[in-house]
Amino acid sequence: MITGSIIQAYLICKRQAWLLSRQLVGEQDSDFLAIGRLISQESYSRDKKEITINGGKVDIIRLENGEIKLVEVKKSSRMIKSAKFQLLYYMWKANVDYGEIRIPKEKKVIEVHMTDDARGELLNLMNEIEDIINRDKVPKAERKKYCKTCSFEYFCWS
Amino acid sequence: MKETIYIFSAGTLKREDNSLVFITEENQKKHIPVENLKEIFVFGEVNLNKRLIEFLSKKEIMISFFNHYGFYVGSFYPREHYNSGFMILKQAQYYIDNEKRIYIAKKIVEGAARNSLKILRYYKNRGRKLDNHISEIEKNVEKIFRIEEIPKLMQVEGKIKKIYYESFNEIINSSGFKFTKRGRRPPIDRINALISFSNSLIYSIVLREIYATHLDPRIGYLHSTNFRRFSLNLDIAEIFKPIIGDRTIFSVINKNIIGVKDFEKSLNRVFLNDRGKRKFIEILEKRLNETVKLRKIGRNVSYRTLIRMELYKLEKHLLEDEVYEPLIMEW
Repeated sequence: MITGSIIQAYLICKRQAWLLSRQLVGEQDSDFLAIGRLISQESYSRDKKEITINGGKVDIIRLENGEIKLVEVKKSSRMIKSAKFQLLYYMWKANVDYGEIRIPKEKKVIEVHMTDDARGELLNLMNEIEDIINRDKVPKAERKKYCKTCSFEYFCWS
Repeated sequence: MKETIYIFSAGTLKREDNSLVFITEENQKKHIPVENLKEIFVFGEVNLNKRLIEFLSKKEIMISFFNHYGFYVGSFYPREHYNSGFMILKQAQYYIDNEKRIYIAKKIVEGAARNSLKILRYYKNRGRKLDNHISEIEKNVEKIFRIEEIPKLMQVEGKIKKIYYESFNEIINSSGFKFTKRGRRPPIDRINALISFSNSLIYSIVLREIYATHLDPRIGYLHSTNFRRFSLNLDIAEIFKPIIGDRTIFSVINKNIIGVKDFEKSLNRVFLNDRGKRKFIEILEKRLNETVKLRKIGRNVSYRTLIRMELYKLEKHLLEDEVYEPLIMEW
C-alpha cells in the first residue's frame, strides 16, 4: 500500500520507497529524523496536529472560511517537490482542494492546489510507485548527495 | 554517540519524572542522563520496579543482567520498535532452507577464522612463534568451503578455535597467565575467565545492535534456534570476538592493566573481581568507540557501528540485494 512517506521517499530515492513499503524503516536515532520530529512538535503547537488519514499523518488541519485545508510542516525547502506530492496525496485521500507547505525555519508558506493537472500528475506518480514496490527485488543502491543525511545510509553502504 | 552504563554497586535504580536515578545503599543519589542512553549492564544487587521497566521500554533502553561471576543472566529486550513482518519471514526462510542456512553459517565461521588469523599474523610479525598455528588454521579454513552440514561445520569451527586458543600462550607474556584448555563452566584459569567475561559482554552488545535493526534475535544460522532464547547475537559475535574481545584481552594482560590480584577463585572457578571487571570494561569501551575509516562511506565509523553494519549486511543478503561477506579486518 502507498503511503505519504513512500511518495515523498520515491521522488528522492526509489530504493527507500521499496524498503518503506515493507516496513523497513531507517534508523530512528538518526539526528536528522530527531530534528524533523522536534520541528513538527514545536511549531504550530496550538493547532490540531498529526491527524491520521489512511496512509499517513497530516501535520495540521485548519478550517478557514468554511473550507478545510491541510498543512505539512517541513525542515527546509530543499526537497520541495517530494513534499508537494506527499501533501497532494493527503489532499486527494481526504478530498480537500487546498493545502500548504510551511517551513517555519525559512518563514515560508507554499500553496498547493488540487487542479486537474495536479491530480493527473499524482495518479501517474502513484502508478509508477506501484510498479516499483511490487517488484520482488529492492532497487540497487545509488550514491546521491542525499545519502549523507539519509537514515538508511549505514544500511545501503555497509 | 549512544552510551552504555555499567552498574556495579548495590542500590535502587528508579524512574524520577522523566529521568533515571540510582540510589546507592548509602542513600547517595546519582542522576543518569537518559537521552543518550542505549543500554544498562547490571552487575550489582540492584532493585527495580515495573515503572522503571515501562520507562526503559518507552526510551528503547535495553537492560542486561550479569551474575556475581560476570556470567550473562538475561536481558529486558524492550518492545520492538523496528518491526517488519517481511524481514522476519525472510529470516525464517533462510533458516529453514538448509542450503541458504549453511551459506550464512559458513561465512560466519570463515569470518571469525580470518579475523583470528589477522591477529595471529600481527603477533607473528612481532616475533612470536605462530607459524604452526597459522598454517593449521588455514588448512581448516579450506575445509569450510566443502562442508554441507551444520554439525560438520561446528566440528571444524571447534578445531579452529582450539588451535587459536592454544596460540594465546605464545601471545601473552605474563607469568600469572597460562592457558590450559578452554573450559567454560566453570572457567578454569585466568585466561578462560577473561574470555568468558569478554564473550558475555560482546553477546549483549550485539544483542543491543540487533534491537536497532529489523532482525529477530531468536533466529540464528550457525547457532541453532531453540538452543537458547537468542541466537543471532551469538552468530554475529563470532566475527567480533577476535577483533574486539581478544585484542582487549591481550592488551589488558600484556600492558599489565589487569594482574593476578584482579581475580578471585572459589569452588574451582576463576573469575574477575569487581575491580578487574571494571578495568576490563573500560578498555573494551575504548575499543568500541575507536573508529576506523570506511571507504564505502568515506568517513570514520566506530566498532560499535561496524557491528550494526554487519547486521545490515545480513539484512541485505536476506533481501537478495547483496551477497553476505563477513567483515575481515583490513587495518
